[in-house]
Amino acid sequence: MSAIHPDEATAIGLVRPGRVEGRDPHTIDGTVTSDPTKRPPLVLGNHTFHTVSETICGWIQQKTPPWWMAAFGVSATVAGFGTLMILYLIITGVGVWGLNNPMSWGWAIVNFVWWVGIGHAGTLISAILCLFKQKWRVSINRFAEAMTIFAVICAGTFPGIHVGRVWMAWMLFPIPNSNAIWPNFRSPLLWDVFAVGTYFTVSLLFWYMGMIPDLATLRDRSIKKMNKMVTVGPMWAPHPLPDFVKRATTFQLPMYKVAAWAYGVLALGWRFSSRHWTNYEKAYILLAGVATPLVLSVHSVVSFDFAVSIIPGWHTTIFPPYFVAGAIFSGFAMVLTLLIPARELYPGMKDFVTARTLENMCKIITVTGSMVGFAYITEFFIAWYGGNPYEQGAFIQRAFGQYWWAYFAMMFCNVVSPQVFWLKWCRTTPWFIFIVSIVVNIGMWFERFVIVSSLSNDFMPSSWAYYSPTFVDMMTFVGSLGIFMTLFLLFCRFLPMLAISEVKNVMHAAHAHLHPHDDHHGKGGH
Amino acid sequence: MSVAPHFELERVFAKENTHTGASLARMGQGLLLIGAIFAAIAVVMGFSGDVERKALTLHALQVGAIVALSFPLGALGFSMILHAVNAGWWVLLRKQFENVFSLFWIGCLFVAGVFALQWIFTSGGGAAAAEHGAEAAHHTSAYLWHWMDPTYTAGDHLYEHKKVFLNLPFFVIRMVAYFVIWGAMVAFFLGQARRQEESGDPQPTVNMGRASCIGLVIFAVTTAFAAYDWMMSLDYHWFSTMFTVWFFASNVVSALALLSLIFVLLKTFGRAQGAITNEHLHDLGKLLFGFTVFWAYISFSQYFLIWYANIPEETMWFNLRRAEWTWLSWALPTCHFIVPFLLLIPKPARRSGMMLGFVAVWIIVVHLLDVFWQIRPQLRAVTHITIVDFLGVLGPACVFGGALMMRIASRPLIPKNDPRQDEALTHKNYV
Repeated sequence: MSAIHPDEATAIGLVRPGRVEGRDPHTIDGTVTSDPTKRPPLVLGNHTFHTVSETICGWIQQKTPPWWMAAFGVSATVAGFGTLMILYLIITGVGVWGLNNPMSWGWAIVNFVWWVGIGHAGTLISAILCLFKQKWRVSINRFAEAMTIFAVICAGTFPGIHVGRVWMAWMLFPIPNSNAIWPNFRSPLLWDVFAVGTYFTVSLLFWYMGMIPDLATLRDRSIKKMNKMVTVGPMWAPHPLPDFVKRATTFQLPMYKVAAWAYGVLALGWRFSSRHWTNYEKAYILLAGVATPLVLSVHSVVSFDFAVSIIPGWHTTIFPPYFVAGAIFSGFAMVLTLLIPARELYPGMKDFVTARTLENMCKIITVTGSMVGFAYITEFFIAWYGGNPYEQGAFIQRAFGQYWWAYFAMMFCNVVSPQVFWLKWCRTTPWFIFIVSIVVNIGMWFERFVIVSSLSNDFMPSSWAYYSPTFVDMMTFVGSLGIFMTLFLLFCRFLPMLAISEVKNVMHAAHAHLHPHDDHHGKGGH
Repeated sequence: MSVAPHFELERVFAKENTHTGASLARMGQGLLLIGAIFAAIAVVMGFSGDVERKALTLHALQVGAIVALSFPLGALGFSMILHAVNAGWWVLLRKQFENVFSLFWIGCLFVAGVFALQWIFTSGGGAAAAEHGAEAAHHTSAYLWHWMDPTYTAGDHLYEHKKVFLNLPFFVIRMVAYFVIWGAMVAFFLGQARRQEESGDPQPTVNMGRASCIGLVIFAVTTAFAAYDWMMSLDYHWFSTMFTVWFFASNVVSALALLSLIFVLLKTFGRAQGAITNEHLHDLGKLLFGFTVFWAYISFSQYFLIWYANIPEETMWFNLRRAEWTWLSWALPTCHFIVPFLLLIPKPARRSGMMLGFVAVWIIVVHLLDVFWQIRPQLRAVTHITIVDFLGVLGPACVFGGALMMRIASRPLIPKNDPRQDEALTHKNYV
């Protein structure tokens, strides 16, 4: 079998004898090989097309795992608490935040930029890596795109509630109105509305369109069990329950009918015909092309929020590419933060999300982290070289001023910590990657805080003020994490987490007819 | 490793398929000679002319030198990226990347030559300028790097501040350091490639991949400072953090254009058949398209942020170019972005040798204008293109081109024994 379907044994066999690396099937599955004559398989575990569908759809169609209920309960509670904080803010006013006079932007903009940044990984993985023919992306693209969409939703919340009078937030958009009041078209904040709005729309389309064949698979699988009733009951109570309680609290619901209907509507009449596939592939590549510049444009426009101003420390020309690199950096870290636990929790996910996938993502984290570090150093050097005392002052304040701890947290988390992935052990050990990914997320939050906190030392020393967040500030941020996790857990429960059709495409079996005598694995085109 | 049966390796690697005719070497020699003559005439015109002419010669030669340097630096950087990501599709194209970056020393030598020439021009000229009085020295002096002119920097507070970095000994040390570091990198890659061709060992591929990761870090730092030293410091008052990114983008886009042109020509003359196919051209076309957009993104961001903030210490650099080289300032966004962008959008254009070759030549020419626009306006006294510009810019560029043709002619066109050779041979795009 292994000649056609690459499995674990083949994968380990790829590693040349005498090399210790890649021998342990538990921590490293053998796909991490540096032998240039071989390409490691993308799918492990002797899968056939059928077992791929079974595994991925199984995560949706099995009984709700208890850990999911627990995680969902916690996330939803936190999200609810965050929503309460937002409600309190709306009722009371932005004074409940810690903003003060020079520091008129606080955690809200920090959180906005942080979330938008996180929302970059998904589209990078699905669009840019698609154009670069990086086939390892198929096991994570759906997952990362979902993360992107939820992150952008969280991001959008913050400017929305920061406007103070939330009921006037519609004025962010240039909507004709009887007062002839328009937003300022010269303001980068308006461009943000367009940039983030476009990005969200295209990402959502891309995500949804990519999912249509898989939704059709789920529809068909649900139709097969259409007449099966599902017993819904109090699963948290001690079982077996007394009969009268059972009767009163358990229901027989036609869940498969509901599922067939819901997936059926979403699948838009997909019939797996070759005409459908042709259109699908054309649309996919077109959307990838459209989404690619968007990956760069969104965070470039976000960087304009700062860089078009004449605030020392904000006005520097490297901001656009540096923000984009930072966004990809944090986005990949967040994908890893979610992916590594999911890989442990969902049975069979390791066959698709291999050690090589994690290793590649770690490498991207090191590259983008180093780019960000390069930008920090360039900024510092040019601040000195430019000879502008205000610019220099801003940078000295950053590094040695009252927020020195934020600066050093940023430097350590963003520049130093990703360098551990130069070592093979570090980028192939999931629990270690998980820790570093969280460190990176913290660091990227601090980066935005460092930039924003430049405001607290403005041109007039008499107005300098230290900014401290309030309880509402902090809980709104924590609440946004809750909203994000809630949405994400719902996605994991109800939608195909991996792109079933794309995974099948990169399996060797898909190309067996092309290379009958070939012994490569995981190779071949679409 | 087995190859799909329709590939006859003997035919791909046959001598007549992997070598150009001797005429290419002769043409290369001719071009090199023309370039050398052009550069020599420019130098002679500098010697025979007044201070203004001397400065003109230096500026023009510096443009040529940076152009001659940009192709190898772009090729080196990009091939390190491809090594680092373990790319398989390009391994048969690798030899030409190596040919281009092995000639990095030509540009470096020209920069050093310009520096030496400035020293010769001004070793007696400094006193002469002083005779004319400070006023005259400010308008025209035979300096390319004005911060090296003690008359110019006298009493300049900003120069005093930057003196730690912008001083002659450190400048020379840095210049030597770039040369040595790039030389070491080039020697390493050429050596590993040769080792693989001779022994067939896959290990050099691994070595090159690993070395590229570290090499890219070193490359980023050295090219950044080379861009500051050789371009940005020509107006030492001006600064932009984006400049180093612009330098990278401009190098890569020019190198990709040159390499596309090389492959299109090789295909046209029936060489490297089976090894370099339309599929490879297609990918090169896509990369060329992508980096054209990247160049535009970087250039626009730099311009836009400075324009919007409108701080005089930054805008002066663009104002100078906009006021005195208006036509060029408009030509660049049009010709370096809009035209190639539109031309490369259709898929057939990227796969057709004709169109890709045309766009490649177009981008090489516009790249030359781009570098010209960066450097030449610093000479405020002459705001039109002169015969010296023509000679000084084309001189180093033709020397580089000629040397490259000779190098291509003297070696096999495709590398042998690469472990990923089959991937390159069977490479397909599908979309």
